[in-house]
Amino acid sequence: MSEGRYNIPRQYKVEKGMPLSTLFEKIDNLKCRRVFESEIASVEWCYHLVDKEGITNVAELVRENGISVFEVQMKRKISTDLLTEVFAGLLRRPMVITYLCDGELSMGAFIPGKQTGSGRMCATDFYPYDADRMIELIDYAADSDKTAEEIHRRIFAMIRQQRRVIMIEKAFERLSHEKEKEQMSFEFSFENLDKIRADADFVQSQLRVV
Amino acid sequence: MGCMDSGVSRATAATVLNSLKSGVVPRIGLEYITVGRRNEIQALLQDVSIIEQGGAAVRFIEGKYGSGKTFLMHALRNHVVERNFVVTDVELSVDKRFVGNKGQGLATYKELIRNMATHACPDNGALQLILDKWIGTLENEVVQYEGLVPGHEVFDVRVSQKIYKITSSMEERVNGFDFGKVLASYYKGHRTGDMELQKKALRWLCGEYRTRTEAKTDLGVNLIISDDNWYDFIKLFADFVVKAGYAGLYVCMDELATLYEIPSRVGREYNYNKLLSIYNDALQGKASHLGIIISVTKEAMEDPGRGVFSFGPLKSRLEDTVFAEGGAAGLRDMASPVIRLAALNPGEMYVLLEKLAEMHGKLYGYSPKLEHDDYIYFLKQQYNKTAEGEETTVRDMIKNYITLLNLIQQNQEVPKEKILYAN
Repeated sequence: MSEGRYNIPRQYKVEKGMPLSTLFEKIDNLKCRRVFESEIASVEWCYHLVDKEGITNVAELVRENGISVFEVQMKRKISTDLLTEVFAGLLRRPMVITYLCDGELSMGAFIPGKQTGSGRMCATDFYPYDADRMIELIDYAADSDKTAEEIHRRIFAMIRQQRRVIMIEKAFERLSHEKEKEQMSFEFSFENLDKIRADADFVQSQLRVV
Repeated sequence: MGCMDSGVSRATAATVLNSLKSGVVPRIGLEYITVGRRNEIQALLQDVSIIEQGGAAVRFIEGKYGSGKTFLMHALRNHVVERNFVVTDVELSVDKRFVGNKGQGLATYKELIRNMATHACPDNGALQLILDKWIGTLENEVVQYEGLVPGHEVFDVRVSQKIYKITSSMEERVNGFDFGKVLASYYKGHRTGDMELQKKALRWLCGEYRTRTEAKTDLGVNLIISDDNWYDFIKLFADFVVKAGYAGLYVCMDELATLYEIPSRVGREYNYNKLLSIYNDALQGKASHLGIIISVTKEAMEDPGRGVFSFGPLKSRLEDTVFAEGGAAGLRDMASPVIRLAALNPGEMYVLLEKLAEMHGKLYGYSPKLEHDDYIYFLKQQYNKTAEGEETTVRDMIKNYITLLNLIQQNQEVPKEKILYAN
C-alpha cells in the first residue's frame, strides 16, 4: 500500500474521507460549527507520513505516530487561521492541511505541544496555484534521512515563510488596487475632464486651417 | 460640462463613424476627434512651420498597434494639405521598402508619386495638376506683370525663359540637371501641344522608365529614376513644388515595422542605411521644404536584434538621452526625433467617447442620452477586459462603442441601461 513519492516508502496513501457531521459535532462553539457546516464541502485524510517502513494495512498505519496530511474542500473562502485552529482542536495530531477553494489553495500546519491544548500552528492565505510556490510534502533531497518530526518542522517553517510572502503580496495588491481606484477617480473627475476637453478644443482649433 | 459644439457636418460625421466602426482611420474629420495629443500635435506643427520656411524634418511616431499612429499621421496630412502643402503617403510592405533587390525602393517612390495630393486634388494623382499649375502660374505672371497675352509672339519666349530659369536653378542639386530637363520637356509638350512628349515626361517623373537608352531616346536624358537614387528625386520634388507655388512636400510613411520583418540581416541593414541617409539629409540641411513622418511600433524601433536600434548609427541618433529616458520629472522631450505615443488615458478616452456620441447624434438626428456614469461604466468594462489578459486597443474600444451607439439609436424604445449593461 505504500505510495511514496520520490520512492520514499514512509509516505502512505490513506484516502479516507471524514464523516463531516460527526466531526463537526465536536466543535463547541455553535457559531463556529455553523460556519464549518455551511462552508466546508469535504475533508479527506490523504496521506500519513511515518518513520516505520513496511506497513501493510490502514489500521496499523493510523496507529503510528506521524504527519497526517488532510485536504479540505471549501465552498467559500474563510479565515484559514480559524480553520487550522479548529481542526487542530478536533484532531489533535501533527498535521498539514491543504485548503482548496475557487481554484486557489492555502496551506496550514499544526505541531501539537506536550500539554493538551498547546502547540504551534500557522496557515497561509489563499493564493493561486503556482509551481514556484509549491511546498513538497517530501523533498527527496532534503528529507531522505530525516524523521517524520523533522520533515514536519521543515514544512511548518516553509508554510510560515509562505504566509509572510503571501501577506506582503496581498497587501501590495490591495495598495495597487487602491492607487488604481484613486487614479480612476481623478481621471473621471470633472476638473480633469474639463482640462482634456479644453486641450482637445485647442488642438481642433490648431488643426483647422481658416 | 460636455464638449463644445464642434460644427462637424453630417457627411464628415458619417465618414468618421463608418471608418472607425470598420477599424480604419478616417481620411477626413480627424480634427474633431483628436483627444489627448496636444503636445504631439504641437511638436509636429512646429515642424510644419520650419518646413514652410525652407527647413526639413523627419519624425518617427512610435506606438503599439492601434495606439493611434496612423490617426496622428492622417490628422497632420489633412492639416498640411490645407496649408498648401503637397502631401503624399506610402504604406511600407514586403514590396515597398527603401531598398531591395527586386526594385522595392523604386516601388516606394512610384507609390509616393502616385499618391501625391494637394488641396485641389485631395485624394491622389496630383502630379500632373501640380505641373500644369506651375506652368499656369508662370503664364499668369507673364500676362499680369509683362502685359503679354497668349498668342503674342514674345509670350512663349517669356514663359520659356521663366521655366528654364527655374529648371536651371535645380541643376546644382544631385540629379537636378536631368530632373530640370524633363520638366522643360513637359513644358515643351504643353507649348507645342505635344501630348506624347508630356506623357513621356510624366512617365519619367513617375519612375516608369526602365532603361537609360529609352529615356535618352524619348527625352534626351541620360538618367532614370531607380532604386539607388529615388530619394534624391523626392528632395528635388520638395524643391520643385515650392517653385510651383506650394508650401512644401509632406511625406507620410506608415508601417516601418516592415523593415524589422525583413528576414536577412544584410537586407535590413541596407534599408536602415537608407533611412539613415534620409534622416541625415533632413538634419544636415541637404533637403529643404521637406517633411517626413514615419510610423513604427516600439518593437520594430527598439529591438536590439532586428529593430531600427540594431543599426548603431540610427540608434545613437534616435535613442533617448539619459534625461528623457528616465522620464525626468515625468516630462517628455517633444523635440526628440521619436514621438512616443502613450495609450490614451481613461479621462481622454471618456472625452473621445463624448465626441463620438455627439457625432453620432448629429449623423442620425437624435440626442444620445449617455451620462457621466454610463461612460465610466463602458470604459471600466473595456479596461477590465484588458486586465483579464484580453488585448484591447483604442481601436477595439471605439469599434465596440460605435456598435453600442448604433444599438441605442436603433432601439430608442429600449432603455439604454438594458443595452449598456447587457454585457
